[in-house]
Amino acid sequence: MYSCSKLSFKRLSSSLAFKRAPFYEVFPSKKLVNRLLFEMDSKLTFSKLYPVYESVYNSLDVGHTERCFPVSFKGEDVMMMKKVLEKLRHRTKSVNRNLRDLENELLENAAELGDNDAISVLSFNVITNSDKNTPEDVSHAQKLIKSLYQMHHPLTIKLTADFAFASEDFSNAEKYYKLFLDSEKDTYRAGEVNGQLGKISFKKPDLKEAEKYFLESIRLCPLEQVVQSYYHLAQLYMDSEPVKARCLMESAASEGFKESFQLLGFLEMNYFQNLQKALQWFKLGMELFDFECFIGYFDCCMKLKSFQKAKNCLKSMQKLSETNEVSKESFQIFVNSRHDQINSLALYSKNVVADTSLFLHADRTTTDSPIEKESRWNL
Amino acid sequence: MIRFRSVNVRSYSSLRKLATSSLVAVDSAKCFQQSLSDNSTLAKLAKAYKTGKFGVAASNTEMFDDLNSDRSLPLVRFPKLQVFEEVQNDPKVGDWRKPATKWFRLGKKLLKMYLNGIKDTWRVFYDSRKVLQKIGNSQSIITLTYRDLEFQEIQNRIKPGSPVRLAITRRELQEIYRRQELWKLPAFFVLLLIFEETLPVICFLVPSLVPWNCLTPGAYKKLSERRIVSQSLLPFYQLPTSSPSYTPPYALELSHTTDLLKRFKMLSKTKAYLYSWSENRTRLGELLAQFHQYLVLDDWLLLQSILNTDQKTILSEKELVNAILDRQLYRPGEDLNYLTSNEIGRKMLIWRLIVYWSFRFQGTAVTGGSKTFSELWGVNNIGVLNCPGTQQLIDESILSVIEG
Repeated sequence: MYSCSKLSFKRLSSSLAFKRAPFYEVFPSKKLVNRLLFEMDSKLTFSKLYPVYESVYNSLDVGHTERCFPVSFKGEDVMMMKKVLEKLRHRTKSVNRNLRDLENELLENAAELGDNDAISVLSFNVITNSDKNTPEDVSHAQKLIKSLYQMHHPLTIKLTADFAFASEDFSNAEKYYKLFLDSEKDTYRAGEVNGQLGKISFKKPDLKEAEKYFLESIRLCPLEQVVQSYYHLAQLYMDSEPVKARCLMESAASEGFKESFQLLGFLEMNYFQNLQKALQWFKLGMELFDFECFIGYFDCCMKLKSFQKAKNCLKSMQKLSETNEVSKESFQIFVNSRHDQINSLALYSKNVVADTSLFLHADRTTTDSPIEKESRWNL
Repeated sequence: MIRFRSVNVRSYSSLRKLATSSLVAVDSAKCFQQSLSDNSTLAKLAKAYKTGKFGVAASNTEMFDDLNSDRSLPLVRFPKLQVFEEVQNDPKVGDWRKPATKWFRLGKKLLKMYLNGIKDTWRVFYDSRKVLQKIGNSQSIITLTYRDLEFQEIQNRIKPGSPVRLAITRRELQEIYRRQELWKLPAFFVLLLIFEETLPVICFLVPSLVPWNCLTPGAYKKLSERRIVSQSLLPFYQLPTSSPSYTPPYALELSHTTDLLKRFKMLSKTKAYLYSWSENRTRLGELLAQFHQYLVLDDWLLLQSILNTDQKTILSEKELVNAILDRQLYRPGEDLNYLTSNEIGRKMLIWRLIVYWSFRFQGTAVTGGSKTFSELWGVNNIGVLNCPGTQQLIDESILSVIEG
């Protein structure tokens, strides 16, 4: 009795604490939605969809959203509405809690209206999170997947392959991805599948085949969906065509792909000899605490003779190495390999206050390191 | 796998320095013996040369196999002496008309050489077109093949067993590289019509107008003299005493890059002017990288044949001269055709090639190592472009030290 009242109180408090923002504040602009609909070659328009989105959104906390849809709407139309939100999430690289709830609701409604894509997605969601679902749900989901697979439903085949890929069963993943490509060759999904096949070939390794798949992937899909294909292709071209590799890597970086910053920085610094540009790439990487970027930044500063910046970078690296074991090891290698440069930094120090204070407090400090002769004041 | 490779081993890595091969010491017999024990590639190549696994074909043998494409290369010996001797020993020709017959037959021989040269230039162009259709377009064929080589070497390292095989042979690679000579034919044909028998004189005076396989040894020497001037612009030349450091194509001055490319026949004067005027460094850098890749591929194909196949690798005299010219392994004033024609000179040239390969390819997959060329030296490292691999080029005195 006590626990029951406690639970209802919790629900009440949480519902009071979370109040959904008005729909017009959450929903993206008309221009953006229209563009997404155009990209997906949809027959539906913004003016037709907006009231439906709004009514589903407003009924989220109430339940029973079936009545929100016009009679003419089929499962695939609802699925299209869901895909608009999904694309928006990919494009903005941000997740809005309200829109995510709306997306889930639309997915469930599409499944209830008999859309096979939605049924497939929901069934795989149940299987991947089997620990959070009842055994009955899991077995039902398995049955649904089996029947969809027997119908050669493309998305089910793709999701089966994705499932195998996630479980590191690459041979089965490859088999199913290829099966998917037999039914769909020139869609966005085919682009994604080509990207996945590229990764599998990359692991084998069959690099020529990987190149072919990645090229096909970037031909079919917009950048934001296949950033990894751009990145991997850039790596394949790094030795033979650095100019092409730079272009591809810049595309990946424009989508905020973290690993691309350091490679771009080193490419600009060592190969193209463009130190200013390299410095900018390293800065971006440093904001994400990429240790290699710190090293690149230090080297760049030394080449540009920006000794104060190099010194600050060195301090940051030292701090970073204290917090992380991997960084600590890298820092040690770095210090050994740049021993002369680090020593020479002391000669160019402009940090007069710090040096003087060090001198003044030298007698009080009990550190093992004596004051270097190479300091600015020749102490 | 690739990511690790790209981050930690290549030239643009941050923590570890590139492991480079050291120069081959040939100052004394003891130093050379030391080099033989230090550099396994040098030992293997020296053994292959001494046992006859690798060599140069006897003179006047026209070769057309997977390695050699003599039809696309110029004469090594000027036929004057041969023709004069034939006339001198010909009993059908009376003594009183021998001097005139000698010159007449020489002219006829040269004319025949030009006509054959024109035909061969067309054949090379036509045959190489078929190869290009099989693989890709001519602009990127070298880069494509270079990439294919890298891919196969990496795959072979991870999963040993599948031998590295390129889609083209050395002859095909060379003919693709030399096929551009076709565009000289119209102008050359006009010259032939205008000057007729005095054409050899014109060819000697302006050798750059002549298709490559129509050059006389004199004109060839003139061109080789022009080309060797550009050697001083190469990065390794600035540091003759130490091992070359990593230098990308973009590290060179713009004027140096254009000069080098003109000498390597990679850039016409008009294009060079346009690129310099527009300061298009990217295209020039790419072209220089492409020349570097062409040499790596050519070296690789030869080394693969010498070290990793059972049959003998026999280079023709013409190919030997051309290989030395491409890699600038000669001094100003040296006549490569003359050197190839005598035994000591030929040995010198072969040893120069052997030392050059030993320096560049020690530790790479083709010589039994584990790294690809880019992993060893860095991406398109112009620092090792045409570096002879020794402090000084091998001459007669050094040859006696090497051969004992």
